[in-house]
Amino acid sequence: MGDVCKAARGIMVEQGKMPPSAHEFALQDMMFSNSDKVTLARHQPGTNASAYLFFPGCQLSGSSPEHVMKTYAYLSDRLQGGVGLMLRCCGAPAEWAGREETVSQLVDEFRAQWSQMGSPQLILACSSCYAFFKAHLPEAELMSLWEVIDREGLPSAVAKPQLPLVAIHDPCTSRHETRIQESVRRIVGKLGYETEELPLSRDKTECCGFGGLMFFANRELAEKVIRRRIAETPADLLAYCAVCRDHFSSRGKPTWHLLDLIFGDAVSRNLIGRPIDYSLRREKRVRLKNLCLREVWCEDRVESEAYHIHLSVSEKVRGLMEQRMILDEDLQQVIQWAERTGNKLVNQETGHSLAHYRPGAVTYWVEYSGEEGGFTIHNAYSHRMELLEELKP
Amino acid sequence: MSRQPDFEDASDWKCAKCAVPLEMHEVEVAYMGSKYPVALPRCPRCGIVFIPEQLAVGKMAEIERLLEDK
Amino acid sequence: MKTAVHRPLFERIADQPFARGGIRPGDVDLTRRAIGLAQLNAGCRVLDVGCGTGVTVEHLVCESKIRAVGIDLSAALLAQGKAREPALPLTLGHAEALPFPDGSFDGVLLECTLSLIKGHEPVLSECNRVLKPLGAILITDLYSRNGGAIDKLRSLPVDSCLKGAIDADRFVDQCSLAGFGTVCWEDHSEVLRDFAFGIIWTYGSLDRFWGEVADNCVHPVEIRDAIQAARPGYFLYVGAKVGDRLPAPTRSRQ
Repeated sequence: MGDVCKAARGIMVEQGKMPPSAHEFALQDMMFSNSDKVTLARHQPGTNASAYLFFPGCQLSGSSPEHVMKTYAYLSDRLQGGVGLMLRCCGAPAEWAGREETVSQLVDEFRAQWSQMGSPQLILACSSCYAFFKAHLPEAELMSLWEVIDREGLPSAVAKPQLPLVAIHDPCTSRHETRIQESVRRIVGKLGYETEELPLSRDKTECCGFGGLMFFANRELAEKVIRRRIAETPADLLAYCAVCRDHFSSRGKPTWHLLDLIFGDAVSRNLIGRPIDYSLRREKRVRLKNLCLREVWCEDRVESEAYHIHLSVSEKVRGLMEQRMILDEDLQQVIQWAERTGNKLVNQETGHSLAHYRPGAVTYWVEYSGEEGGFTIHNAYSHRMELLEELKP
Repeated sequence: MSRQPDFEDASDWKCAKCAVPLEMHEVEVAYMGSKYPVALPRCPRCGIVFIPEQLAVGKMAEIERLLEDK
Repeated sequence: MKTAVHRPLFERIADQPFARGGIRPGDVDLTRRAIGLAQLNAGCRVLDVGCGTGVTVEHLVCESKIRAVGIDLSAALLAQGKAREPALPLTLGHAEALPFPDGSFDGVLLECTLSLIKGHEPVLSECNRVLKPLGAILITDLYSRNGGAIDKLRSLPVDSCLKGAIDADRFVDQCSLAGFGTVCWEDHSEVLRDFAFGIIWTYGSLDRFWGEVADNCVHPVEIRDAIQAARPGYFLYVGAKVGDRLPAPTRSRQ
């Protein structure tokens, strides 16, 4: 069915008949994931060759970047020969939208970087990336992250979430990959969990609404599909695709990601009932890159200086920040930029400064006072709309 | 019909660099492929814009939700 | 709060800066697309039914060199148009009785107009009459993407294009009966976003907008729920006159 839709879309795009709105958002998201603020390609610190390349995929990066970090640390530790990291979107959304030219372009871009890194074996956390590279990069050696973990063994014993039973949900793009499905089940078994095989699993697995960009092209159908799947079992679901996990969680269904169980954290717990927040996903991808460069590669960049800025935050403001999902690092970047360029407003009465800056996909506003030794934060808010300001120096 | 309380605190803020008061001016805002000209307080010299908290968490947030939902 | 003179919603919206391009979502880009699909070009005669202040007529004349004329039932909007550009060929009149001879036009345009008129048959019929054979009818308007909830829209207290949003299932049949063959139907719901942007920016929120324009004290929440249920979208339809309108069984034009 998926192939039929894809072929139809290809024809429509070619004939100029495809209304742009259907997939535009997903394609913009993809382009954001391939923009300078997000992309990264590095050999393991202290090496200049990679036998392996960890490719977490844009969705895991945007949803649980902490898992990307932990997984990279695990792989760097277990595998010999150097494990590189590449943060990028493979291009699956372009394929699903029938944009063949864009797909070719993205594949060429990837191939160039990948060969420059020594054509390492790709370790893929996402089944959609796996399917994409299998189709478009036949010369590459591909391994699913789950096959690697199954082979190399679990990280040292961790306190795992206690669950009576989990129902495994295979992502649509793993449909024909029995080796991956088996690895997942072996890992779950080694972790000691009891599992339920849903009647529609493995090659008969059901869509979570994201594959093929259904969520964007026909929201109503996607909602139905999600609701149907989560009603199939009272047990918690276990996914190994970040988007499946997010879609089911957003509807209130406790859904774990296999990495929660492997690392013994409960990242997915926080996502239950949370609607999919696209801007936050973009922010997380940008933060992931910054975090990697700062902590793993210890690279000295302008942005990293910002992290040394000392902030004094009252409880009231802290509460506001949490509610508005604004992090210290967001404020630091605004203040750094404002102080460096002088672009800010000043309050006549209080003498406070008010500045704004857009590090990624969100514009942050900060009202603050103080100076290099330490800044006191009086207020913080944000918006996603971009201000096309045209500042003059 | 009060539609300008949006900016009643604009007069409290001045441009720090140019030390001049802000003036209402047309500025473009963009989100998800939609661009829209709106009137906002702006420094006439360097172009820095002021967006009060209420505007950001109110109207702008509602528009953002609407555009994301469609 | 009752206004002294009860002005129709479309006139009140016309005052707002965001509607300066004409009170039709999609703006000039959608008009261009429609004209392109209908293959109307320089020298063609086109009638804009529900022309408002004549922004489209002006665009067609200036940009495409199309011989466009406009007709509208709002003297106020026509006056605004003529004040802006006195040479605009705009005239006062009703869509159900177009003051033009049979077969005068190559194209008839109805941008966000049909939804403001209760009975479509007489309008479609008149459009058919004034078109040359194989002439094009171009309709852009709101429609209900969830046809099942359309009665929720019909019961809205505000006379507006939203209330009259087209029932897509019946629409194409109505056009056939009026003698039109479908050239294309396209969804352009994305243009509503821009329009909604303007409304929210001006009024503060959609709820407040509805609160202000529905002078009777109907809760804006009801309106919001009706909209959410019916999921208004925007469409572009191009039809070609393939025959005369079918005679109505019980009524006939005297």
